[in-house]
Amino acid sequence: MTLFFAQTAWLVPLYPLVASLLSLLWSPGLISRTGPRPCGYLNLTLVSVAFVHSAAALMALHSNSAAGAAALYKPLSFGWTWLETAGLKVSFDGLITEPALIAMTVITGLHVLVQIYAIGYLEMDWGWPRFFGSLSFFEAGLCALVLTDSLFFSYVILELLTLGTYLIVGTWYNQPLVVKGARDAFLTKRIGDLILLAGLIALLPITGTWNFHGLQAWAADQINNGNPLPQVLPLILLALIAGPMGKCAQIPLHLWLDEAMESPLPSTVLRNSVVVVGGAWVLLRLEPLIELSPLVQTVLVIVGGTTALVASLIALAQIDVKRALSFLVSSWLGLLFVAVGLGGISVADHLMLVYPLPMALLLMVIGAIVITNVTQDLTQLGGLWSKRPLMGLAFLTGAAGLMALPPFGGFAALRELMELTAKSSHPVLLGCLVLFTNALISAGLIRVFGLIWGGRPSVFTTRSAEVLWLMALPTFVLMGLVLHLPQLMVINGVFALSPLPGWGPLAVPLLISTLVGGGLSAAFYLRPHPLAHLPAALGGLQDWLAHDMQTERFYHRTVVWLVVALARLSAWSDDRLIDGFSGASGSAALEGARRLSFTTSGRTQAYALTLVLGVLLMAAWLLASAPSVPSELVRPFR
Amino acid sequence: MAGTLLLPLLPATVPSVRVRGIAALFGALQLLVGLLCWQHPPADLQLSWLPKLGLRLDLGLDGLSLPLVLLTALITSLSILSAAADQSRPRLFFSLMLATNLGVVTGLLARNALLFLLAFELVLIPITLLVAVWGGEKRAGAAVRFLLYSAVSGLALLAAVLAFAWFNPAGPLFAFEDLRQAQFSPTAQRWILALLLLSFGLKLPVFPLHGWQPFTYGQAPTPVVMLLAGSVSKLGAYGLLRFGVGFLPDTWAAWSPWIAAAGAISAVYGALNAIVQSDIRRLMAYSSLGHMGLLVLGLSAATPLSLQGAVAQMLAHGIIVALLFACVGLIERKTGTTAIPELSGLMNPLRGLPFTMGMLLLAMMAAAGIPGLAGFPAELLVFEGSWTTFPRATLVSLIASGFTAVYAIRLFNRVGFGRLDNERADWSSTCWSERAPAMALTVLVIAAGLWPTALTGWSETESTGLALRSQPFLRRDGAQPFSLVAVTLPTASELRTS
Repeated sequence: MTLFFAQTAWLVPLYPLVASLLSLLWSPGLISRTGPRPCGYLNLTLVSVAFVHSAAALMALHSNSAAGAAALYKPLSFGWTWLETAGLKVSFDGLITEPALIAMTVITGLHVLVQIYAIGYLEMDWGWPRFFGSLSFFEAGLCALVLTDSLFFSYVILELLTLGTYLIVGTWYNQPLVVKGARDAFLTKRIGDLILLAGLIALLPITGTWNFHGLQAWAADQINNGNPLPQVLPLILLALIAGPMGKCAQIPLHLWLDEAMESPLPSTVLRNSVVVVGGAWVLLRLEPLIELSPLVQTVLVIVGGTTALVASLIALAQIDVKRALSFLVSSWLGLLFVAVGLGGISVADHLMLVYPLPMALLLMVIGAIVITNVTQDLTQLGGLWSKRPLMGLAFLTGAAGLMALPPFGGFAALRELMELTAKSSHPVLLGCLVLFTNALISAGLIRVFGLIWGGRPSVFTTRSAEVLWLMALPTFVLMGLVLHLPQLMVINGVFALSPLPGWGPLAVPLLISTLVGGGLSAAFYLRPHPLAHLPAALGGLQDWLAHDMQTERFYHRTVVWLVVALARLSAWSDDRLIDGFSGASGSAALEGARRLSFTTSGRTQAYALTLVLGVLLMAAWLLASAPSVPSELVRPFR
Repeated sequence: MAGTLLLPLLPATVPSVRVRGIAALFGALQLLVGLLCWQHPPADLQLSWLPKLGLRLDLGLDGLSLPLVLLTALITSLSILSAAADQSRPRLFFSLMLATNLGVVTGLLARNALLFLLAFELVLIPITLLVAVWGGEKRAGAAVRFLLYSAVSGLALLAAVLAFAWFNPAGPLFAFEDLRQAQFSPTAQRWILALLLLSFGLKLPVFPLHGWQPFTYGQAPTPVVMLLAGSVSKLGAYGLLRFGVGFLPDTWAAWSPWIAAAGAISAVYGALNAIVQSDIRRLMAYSSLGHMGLLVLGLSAATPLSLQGAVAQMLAHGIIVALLFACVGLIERKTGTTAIPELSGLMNPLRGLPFTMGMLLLAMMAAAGIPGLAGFPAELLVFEGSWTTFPRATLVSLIASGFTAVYAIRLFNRVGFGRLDNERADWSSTCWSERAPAMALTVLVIAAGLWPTALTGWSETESTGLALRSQPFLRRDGAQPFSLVAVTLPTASELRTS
């Protein structure tokens, strides 16, 4: 009976999809009759159903595997042919595997919590149908993404999520910043997606398949048979990783995540915790191909490493609390890119596993702070420890989950990454990179904590009220989950318990880096401290980092400028050359007709004269040009 | 045809709404007959007309013409329905619309080059009149421009058809069957193809022959643009496929790099121009130019896949562009303008046009090739089909597809998002009968995206038969490499580590 849930796990993406489609019904007409709330409740219900189903499916798979039924433990596959023409068959081949079920449980579970949270956060908002519909749409997309075995459909889903991001960032569309953020989010991610599409199109003639398992088999085949690899393969692979780079907000496609912070906070919670990981998921599935090309591996390490280090530095300079956290997202995922680049697939897997819950928790807490204190400016907050200690504890829990602090989840994964770098060709460089990044991430998290909970209350925080239970409840449920995450990992054999979860070689330097980074940051920011003004002394550098290294200006002066210039050039050419020509011919014809119209005088004699003249002229032409008749053709008349 | 002749005879006292209804009924009837023909393929109709000239009334349906006939019938009915309820001079207007439909459908059904030519020329007259009488402020210029370009297009086609007869060693034959088997000399092929490219390139249009398009699309009344962009321009694509690829394969293959280049340039050029337009109608005209570029790219590569893509693109673009203009028509009717700087915040749920904007967003996204909507499968097939033959042109077109997103977002950000202008926003909201045509098209756009066989299923045999190049990596037998069956499934423990 329970296996039934696993076999029908492909239904899970459909529940939220139905919810988001039903949300369309709440057009303004229906809202004015029922108010926006029923739509939110409907979405929450269906999302909960999806969660229950995926959790049941996961348990079913586990209990059956525990019983030792190997046949049942095989992944269940399903397929749906989307397009079949002229020899090309594109089908949505899905695999219901254990990782997919775990991912779906995490995604749907977080969605349930976030939708409850959103009911509290958007209490007074009228845009519920659009917002909840988009949230459910995201969930449907992510669940389908983890189920599909097709690179092609992974692209399709990433592209749809790009559109979803545009809509959800644009929820409060009458604010200029929101409109700009929505635009930039869409276009930046679309660039990544399009490059991915180009890679896909080029890949098919070489591998003959778009399915991950087919690609895996193809890659293994290439290695085993020692086939020479196609020369364009590295280029294609670079194109393929552009999609995940855009989704995971890696440099140089990192701009959008920071601007997407203009969306309502509940959507940020999901975006920064699970949606960005969707890109990483695709990257992990591509790993067998990436292993074929050392060049691509190097690129991944460089991109990931740079992003990890630079984004964590940028985060330190942000004064908008949401942006401070969003750069940490890029940074953490940068570490994941490094892991994939070094071929450490299981390390990357673990990094992906421990990340979403703490990040979601951090953002939920931040939302609770932002909504009651009316500001998200870190310099305006402070002194909340005496008023909101529980939220402070929840924040610390989330922070501990992301920095390398045993026994929390992040520590074990980061230590494995350290071990991986030690085996790489540049152990010192990459090891230091991980240590530095970890120290900076710890510093960034403690800085946010210090600026909000430390120090003295400000004008904004003196009357800080507690939030609605609808927001507090999911936050603390999630806090409990984050606290239990290491235990769950140990029970399931992901990390060893010796003596702390994930303890092992290189644990000490990692722990020291956390303590140094976090400690220094605590010294700076927990209490008003003379050293706290030190960053300001950095002046230009800090300003540069605070403005995201002027990336936006850079893009404005390069890509945007180029496109605009090209567009203006083509508009000019169209105006002058094409339109000029056709306009000139058109106006010449009109002008000719107008002139000709003057010749009509209405006098019959004039027409008669014209006719006669015309006939005469024609006759003259015919006579003049009439060929002399050959004599043999002229027969004598009998 | 019956409709064309009948409508002017209606008494003048009949209100325009009813005339509209009757006209739409004819369109629907045609659609119904088309669907019946799909279920029960009719025998070809052959009537001798002017036997001395080789002109016979040869009508027939195949996988290429049937979907386009259905598209034309559908768009005719919907465009007629999207005309204003108080259309001025309704009898003439709708009868001209039906006359256009008659021309297009005859052209698609024609099994004879001379008949095709006649139909092709027939389309020109009603559209010119429709633009000249019911167009916008600058309608005279637009109509003359359209007339001139179309006249050149028609003359080139006339010359090409005559050349078909002239150069055919088997004598002056016009029937498609004869033309397909005719052995033209290389010189003859070159001349004819050049003329055909000129003629159909003007009709589609393709860069640099598109001079009439922005002006005409900008000035013509909405239903006319829907018909013109959605269906009439497809006559050019159909002609290229039928005559160019079908009858002159050698020269087509030899010239295809240039044709592909023209397609790719059209795609980029149209998209770039669309980015800077300040009028929604002109923006969509250039967008249309870009999409025709993709179509031409697919035709030039002439692999089975790319030809399928081209046919799919004809159908997909037909419904998408009709939907776009239907939405623009609604916006124009309610707000009185299509100038982008004058519009903003139309998403506003109470005083804006949220429903129309929702459909416009969907249509723009379909045009930008977002998966799940009609444009994507067509573009995918064109790209995948052309990639092996013309990788560079395909890459350029992919970039153009990126620009598509830029103007789509720019338009929507300006018009849909932002603050509503309180001074001007006292518009009546759209009623269901006004929305109906656009809603029908919306449903089709989504359906075709989810079930793209609706776009590709018609013409599989024909386009495989017409293809000039093959794609060796695709196997037609069972298509094993694409299904999971061929892959040995790993066990879950292996999966856990991957």
